[in-house]
Amino acid sequence: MIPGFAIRLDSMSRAISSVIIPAIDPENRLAQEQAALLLGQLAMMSGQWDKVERYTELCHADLTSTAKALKPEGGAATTAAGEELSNRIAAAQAPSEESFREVSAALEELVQAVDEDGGDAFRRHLHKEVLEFGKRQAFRDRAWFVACGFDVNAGELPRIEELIRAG
Amino acid sequence: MTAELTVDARPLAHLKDQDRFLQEMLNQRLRKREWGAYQPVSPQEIEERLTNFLSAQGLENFSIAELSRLAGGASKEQFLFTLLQPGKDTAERLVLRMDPTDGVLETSREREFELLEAMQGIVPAPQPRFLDKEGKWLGSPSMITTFVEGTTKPTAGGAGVSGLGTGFNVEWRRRLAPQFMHHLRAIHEFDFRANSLPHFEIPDADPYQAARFRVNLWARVWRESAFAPNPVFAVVESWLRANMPETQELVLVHGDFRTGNYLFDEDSGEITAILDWELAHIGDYHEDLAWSFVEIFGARNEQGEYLCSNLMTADEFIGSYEDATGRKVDRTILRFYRILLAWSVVAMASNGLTAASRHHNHQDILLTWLSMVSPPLLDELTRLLLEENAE
Repeated sequence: MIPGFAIRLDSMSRAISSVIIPAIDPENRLAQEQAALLLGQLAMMSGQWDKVERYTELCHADLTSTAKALKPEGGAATTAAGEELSNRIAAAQAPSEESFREVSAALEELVQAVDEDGGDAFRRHLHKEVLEFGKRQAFRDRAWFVACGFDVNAGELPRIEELIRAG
Repeated sequence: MTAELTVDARPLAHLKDQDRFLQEMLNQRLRKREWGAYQPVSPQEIEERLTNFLSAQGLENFSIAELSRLAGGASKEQFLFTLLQPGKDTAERLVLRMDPTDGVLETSREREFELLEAMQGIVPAPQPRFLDKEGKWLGSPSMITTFVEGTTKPTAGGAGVSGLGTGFNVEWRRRLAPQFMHHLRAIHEFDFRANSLPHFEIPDADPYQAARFRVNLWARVWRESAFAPNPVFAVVESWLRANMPETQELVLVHGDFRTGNYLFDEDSGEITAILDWELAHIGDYHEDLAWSFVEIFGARNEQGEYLCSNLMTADEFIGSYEDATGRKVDRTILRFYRILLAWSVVAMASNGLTAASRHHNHQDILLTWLSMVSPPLLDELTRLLLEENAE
């Protein structure tokens, strides 16, 4: 357990900033840029490592409850994709990056199958539910990755702690 | 009232309809999938390869000096060097751009070279000098262009990687915005039918083909190389196929025309080069305008208003293009391309992660970092489509 993630990440960052970067040839711009990105990743991970489990649970719970509530209607392709989705949800016992991927893949395949032979009303409902879920997931991920600096609307995002507390 | 998200069968009948040159590039990428880790080439090795290559091009008694690796460029391995030739008054500063095994996207050096040749005298752009289209000499498909002086950001600005988040104050916006529009107009007025661009297909089989080519391209990229599935991507694809606009006028589309992809001189304020032509194609002019509306490529001004490419408000941007070109900007078509482009960048970002996971690039860490653009893009996409659904 000891040394834990916090001190290991912190000591790596310090080594990069105080020893490694000053030793890089100032003319080697690729190495300079990659060292800076390394520092950026470590800083983000320092703020995330102790929240990964709760964050994964939050994302997984929203995805599976969205997917479970769907009642696919349509032809053979839609029915098969609906059954596959149910199977993957049932198999996704513990929340993990892997189980999130598995259920996401089945839901993506359902959207494609419904384009093939799904009922109109169900297609509209499915698109709306997926977009609503996508918006919630994007909001969470924007907060999770806000430190990368790509978000022009970063001011509207909560801190990760608040996000997790709010569920 | 809820608007219908209908699926039109017509475009679905043409799922594989694609620019045949881009199709071949993607086929080539599939063949490279199982390759081992990409090893960055050392400057010493590059110097040796360059010497052999330039000799094969007929250069004699030349020497290479000041060879150094360049940063930036999310998809190419780049080197800067000086070519010294006897009898020539000045040394020539050149840039070598080499393809790694994979990156955020697969593009063709041959197409880029051809286009840069065509753009000489049209807009400021690097001059193409040498092409090793199959990588016979340099190890991977490569081209050499002139080096153009300039910067993508003012010294005081704080741009991030790949030109994202470039900050301009009022004075810089006043200097750069008219030039930005002037050069965009020049690109769109280029007569691509009269000038030879043999590796560019003209999507004029029907009025939907220009949009369909783009949707099919990025749908294929996603299907073959997404790092992780995402059901939103499929919903957006479905919407795009159901809402493809007719293209009224085909133009040469730069394909990535935005702040971060041009150089300017800090003293004179003049744009010295338009860069990153690798996504250029023949298509709808709304596509080039739409890049500046994708939020990650803009910024907010002192009053909190969104600025397209950090240069102009949306109304100023559209008005300025209409005044400069006499063309009408159709906001529905513009919105279609904004959705298509945001969706395409999600595909590129995911492709970049796949490349990094396979160690197919020399900048795995940059590709991983850049993939974090996806959440704001997915927020923008879901917002735009849900707004429509609620209308």
